[in-house]
Amino acid sequence: MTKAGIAIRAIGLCKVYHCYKHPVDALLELVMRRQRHDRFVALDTVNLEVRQGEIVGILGRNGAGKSTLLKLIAGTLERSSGDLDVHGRITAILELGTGFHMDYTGRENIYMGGLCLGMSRREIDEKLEDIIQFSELSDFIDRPFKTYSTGMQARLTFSTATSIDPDIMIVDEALSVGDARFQLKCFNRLQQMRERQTTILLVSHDTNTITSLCDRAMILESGRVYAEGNPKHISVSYQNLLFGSSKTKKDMLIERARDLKNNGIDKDPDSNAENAQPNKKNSKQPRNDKVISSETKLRYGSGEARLLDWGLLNDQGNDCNVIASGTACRLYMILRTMADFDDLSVGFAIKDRRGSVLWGVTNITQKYPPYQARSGETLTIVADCMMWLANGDYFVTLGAAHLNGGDKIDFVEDAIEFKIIGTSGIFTTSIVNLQTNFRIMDGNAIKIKK
Amino acid sequence: MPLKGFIAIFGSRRELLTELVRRELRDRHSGQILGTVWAFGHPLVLMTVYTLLFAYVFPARFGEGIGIQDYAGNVLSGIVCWLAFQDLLLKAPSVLVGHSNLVKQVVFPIEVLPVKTSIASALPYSMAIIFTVAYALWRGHLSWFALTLPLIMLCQLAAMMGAAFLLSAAGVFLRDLRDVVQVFCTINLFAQPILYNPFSTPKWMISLFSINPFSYFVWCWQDALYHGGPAHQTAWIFLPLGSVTLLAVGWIAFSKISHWFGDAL
Repeated sequence: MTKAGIAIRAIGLCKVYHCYKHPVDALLELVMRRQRHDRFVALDTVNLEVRQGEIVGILGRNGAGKSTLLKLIAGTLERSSGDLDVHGRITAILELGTGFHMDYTGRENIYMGGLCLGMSRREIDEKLEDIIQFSELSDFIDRPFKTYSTGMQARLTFSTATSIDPDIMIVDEALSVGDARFQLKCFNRLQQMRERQTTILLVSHDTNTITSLCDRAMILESGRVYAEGNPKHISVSYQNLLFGSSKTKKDMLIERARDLKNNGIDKDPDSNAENAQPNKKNSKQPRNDKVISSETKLRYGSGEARLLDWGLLNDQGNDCNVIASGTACRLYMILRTMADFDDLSVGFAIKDRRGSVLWGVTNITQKYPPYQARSGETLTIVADCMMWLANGDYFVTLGAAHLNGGDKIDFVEDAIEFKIIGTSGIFTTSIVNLQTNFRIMDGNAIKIKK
Repeated sequence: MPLKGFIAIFGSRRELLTELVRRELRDRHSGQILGTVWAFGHPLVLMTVYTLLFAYVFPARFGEGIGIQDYAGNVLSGIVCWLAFQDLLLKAPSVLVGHSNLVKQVVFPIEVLPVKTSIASALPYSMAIIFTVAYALWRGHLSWFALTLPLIMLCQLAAMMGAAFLLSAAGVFLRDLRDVVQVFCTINLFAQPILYNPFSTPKWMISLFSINPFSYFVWCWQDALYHGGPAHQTAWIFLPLGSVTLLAVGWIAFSKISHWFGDAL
């Protein structure tokens, strides 16, 4: 096999489920030649290309089509249309304990699972000890599978499934049930597999898993590829997708239509290069007024107003990317309105590497009334803060939205990336800097002082 | 190409197949004290009941039939074949549905499942065959013609696999099939030349038998274990041809529609 060949290539992959109200409808349809089912589009023209030895993470809400995609690739479901090429032997952990029998012992199930995966009895004999050892279930291996906890079942499933050397490995959320230590072991195992040029497709809801393990990530939303690219950035936009206002496919289409319209009419003089979003087709991005350095940043919104500039100032009043912990700083953005607003809400949020929101502020949380603005105005929004975050890398997401309904007007994900320095004497893993004065005193000093 | 897949069941998938058969026989009576003993004991008990019934109860009631010397021997040799077949027919429609977790798993070769069920259905009746052979030996009508048994068994196994492929595939889409088959099996017992005295069966019954494909299996078994010679020549032509055709049709149909199992389950 070629070294950096394509392991999986999907072009315009579609999957439509036919839902029959009653089983007999399927039969009647066949006989009467009249449609008697509802169609549910689970996957809608998905394009995907995975190179050999790549680990690709797939994020997406429940029902976004992740499992359908994996099952199509694995071959348990038949695609409705599109092209799909898969090269190499596939192993999949789609569900816990597939092929395992509840009444049988762990050891018997290893044999059964191994045989199901295509190993021979001798191969399993050779690998049995490794499998048991990896699963850390040697004390329980001769007890019935049904007496295992969910986590233990997952451990045995994972150990067995990864014991053969597949070319392509598909993992569907199976890792999430193990405890943290076992998850770490799984990661290491997957890393080792990657070094052997195994291609891995991983579905997880844990963005942390995706960022730490994957070379690339994609978000599926309503059966389409919503975004694709660098796992870190994708994780952030996934968090936003989850906790931001829910965007249905219809909304996305509307946004796209607006984008097209905007492109046609108002060309800003200071408008710069189009933001190179990996997936142009589905990206809902207006062109930028400010150059966004990193190509994977996300920008979206209706375009009724546009952010012209934004930044972070240190206590000297200079634009900067590094702030000393415990000093004053100022976040700002400049917004130009292109329509009349009576419910404008603007704000900033700071996130950590994992995409967790650590802090956020809007005019509403600051007890301002919703801002009213007329078309053509330019507004400067400023948040002066004391920087009490601890050492680390942080990201600022900023934007404007309608207060009613929460529709985004112009949002930039991770617009500012900055570093905090200057905390010392506290845990390096600290998130906040509590400006600590630490002492050890004789006797019951607290009481005396009081 | 389809042939290659079929051969693989007994080639590279042999170990999986044996393991699955072993499991099925064990699972059927799992958690019971006697366990697998039941799997083999059940046919044996059944055969004993039939023997007593047709050797002592019925002849005493109706008088020894016209022209037949050993009513029970005739019944036993015919019923072995049907019991095994019935066992399979009842299970086949729900094989894939029952193993839906395996069907949805990628690497699992689902074509092993119908084959497994056929073998697991047939195997316990080896006891019944031994019983019948022993009975024939005891009554003294066992002949050299019984050596055709392996051929008959092979043909029947092929036919059973063919039926299992068809029924299991159809059972995925038509869940009612299980009940249809159940009714069919109840009726079919009487639509075969098993329980009747071959010398006093009415003409119309014989023509009914000859349109029932299962009769040909029964006749061959009776020839081998009771008549001791090819008393039903058409059956001996039909048996290998019909079995192989059924197997081929079943396998091709199964592999053609197996892509859609995942959607339906």
